[in-house]
Amino acid sequence: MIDLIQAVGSGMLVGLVYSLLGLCIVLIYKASEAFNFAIGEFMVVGSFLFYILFFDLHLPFIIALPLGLAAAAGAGAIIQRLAIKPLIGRSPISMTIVTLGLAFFIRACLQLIFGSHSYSFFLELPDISIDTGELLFLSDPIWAGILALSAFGVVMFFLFRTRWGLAVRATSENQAKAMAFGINARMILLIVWAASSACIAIAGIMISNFGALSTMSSIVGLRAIPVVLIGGMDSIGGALIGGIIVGVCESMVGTYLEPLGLIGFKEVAPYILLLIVLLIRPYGLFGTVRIERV
Amino acid sequence: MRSVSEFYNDLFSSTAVFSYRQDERIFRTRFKRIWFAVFLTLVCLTVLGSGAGVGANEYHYFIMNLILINLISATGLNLLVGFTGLLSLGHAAFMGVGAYTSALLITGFGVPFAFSVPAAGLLAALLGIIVGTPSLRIKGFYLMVATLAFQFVIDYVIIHWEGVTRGIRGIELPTPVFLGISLEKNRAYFIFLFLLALFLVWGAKNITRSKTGRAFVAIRDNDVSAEIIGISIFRYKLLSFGLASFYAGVAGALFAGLLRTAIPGDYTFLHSIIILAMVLVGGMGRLVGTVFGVIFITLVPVLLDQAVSHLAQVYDPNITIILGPVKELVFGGLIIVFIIFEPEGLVGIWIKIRDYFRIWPLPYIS
Repeated sequence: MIDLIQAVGSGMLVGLVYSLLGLCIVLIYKASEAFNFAIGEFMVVGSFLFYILFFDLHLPFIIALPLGLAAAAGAGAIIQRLAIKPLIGRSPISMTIVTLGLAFFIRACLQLIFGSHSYSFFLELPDISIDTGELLFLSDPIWAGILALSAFGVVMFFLFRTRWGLAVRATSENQAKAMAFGINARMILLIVWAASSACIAIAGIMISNFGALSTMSSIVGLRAIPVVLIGGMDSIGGALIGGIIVGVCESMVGTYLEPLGLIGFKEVAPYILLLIVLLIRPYGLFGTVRIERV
Repeated sequence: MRSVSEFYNDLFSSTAVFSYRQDERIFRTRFKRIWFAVFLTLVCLTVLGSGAGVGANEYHYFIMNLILINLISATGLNLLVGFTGLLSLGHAAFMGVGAYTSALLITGFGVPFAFSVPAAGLLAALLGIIVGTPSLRIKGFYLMVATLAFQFVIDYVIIHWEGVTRGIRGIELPTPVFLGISLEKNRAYFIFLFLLALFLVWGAKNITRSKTGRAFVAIRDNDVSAEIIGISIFRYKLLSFGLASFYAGVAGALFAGLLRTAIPGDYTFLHSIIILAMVLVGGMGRLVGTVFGVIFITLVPVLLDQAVSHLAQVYDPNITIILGPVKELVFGGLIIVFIIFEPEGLVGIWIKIRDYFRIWPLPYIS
């Protein structure tokens, strides 16, 4: 029983970070109908920008974090401007394939700049670990959960309580109509990519804080893909639930199945779960069900 | 002028057709037929020449074998992605299934190479049909990620099912023998592969110009309309998945035969993307395009290898460590550049050039 609570609890904390990654994919999907496969690389870019500010320039955390996020947002905006904007009006599939190309391109650039060794990454956040003797939740995952959840909250606030958020939602609903109402849709797309890039950077910093940062950390991005599809591609709440499901699934598999000899099964378990979910509910748990027969 | 125009039409661009039979020919213009004959002659000359010790050596044949194997695999993927419009990110997994099936059949049961290759294709096709079954209900990105999930599951199975696949150590294969002829030399393997690839691409071409191919295209362009005109969407989607996986399985078995080993590192997500890039860069929905794309994408890393090793000799030996990232950089950059600037792919460029020369030097006579 203690094992179960421990597994579910730590799974949920990691799951919240996955939710944040999922939210970023959902945001981009809603705004430009493209699936961002380069999410892992965006994450590493954001983490390295923060790394430079915090560890190389020794800025205090309070200043380095916003600056790093702003830099990540800028990087996202530049990538959107160069690689995504020329494709507006073309099929969403080609945009998706460009993000696949971007994934390789960005990873290679990072490897050329930073090399492929690991950088030690330790934030020295205050210790808030929970230790009751039987249960042990480490400080880093708790901070990750808190920060991810608050970033999620900020994005939700931006989307549902501000004028710009309204414009973003209108654009995702129907781009042509939004433009007819005087919304600058291209600007909105730029904002969405920048915002999602900044959120991905938060997730990246938190994940790097678990261990070390290297260009191969981008593998984590692949974990965010089942999150989105389990929750439903166009559902923000779905991303939250999906992230928690994937996190819990991973940690349950790690606790109960891997000792039985299935080494590394943690990595594929979310994908198997995804296949099962897709067979039962083809549009994810909370995705909009399109009435059509294929 | 009239006679000149007729002459040109006859030689290069007999675009006017008078029957469906003519419209469905493989080589619709004499121009294409001549080029194909030239191509075949060149291949024959290369093979004969290197028999006499002139021209291509074993390394060149190895590269050409890679191209041919990739061509078989990418042709299958083009049937699925380019013609039926179903995006697959798990094509290398099917190659892996083919490679391991063939390797296990040869080493475990002593099946001859000639039978293990089609058997590998058939098993891959069976798996492809199973993976394609969700396409009844899901489409677009959801299907794309379902194939991605399949890729990861197969990766996992290949690496961790040690009792059968021997994990990351891989399975070693004996030298392939076909009809009593040893294919040990890359040159012998090349001749075998060339004939097989010719046969398989011809098969794919025949599929695309038959009822089946037109059904694929109809599903790609608008699946609702396709169903209304009486095409059984589910059957044709499954058929497309099965065909694509068959080609991939055959290619995987041949690849294992070329390397004499089946190791998990050759059939990862990265390789799926590389094959997809071959189809995209070549031009979707055009089999000629796939040929161009395969040659291009296979040769770029090879040329980079040579350039970097040359630089390392001349300037600094440490430069070789950037080779891996530079390959990925060029590869990713190529995908981006082609999607943004030349969505038709290499075949689009080729058509522009060809049309220019077809009517050259009299651009106003068509």
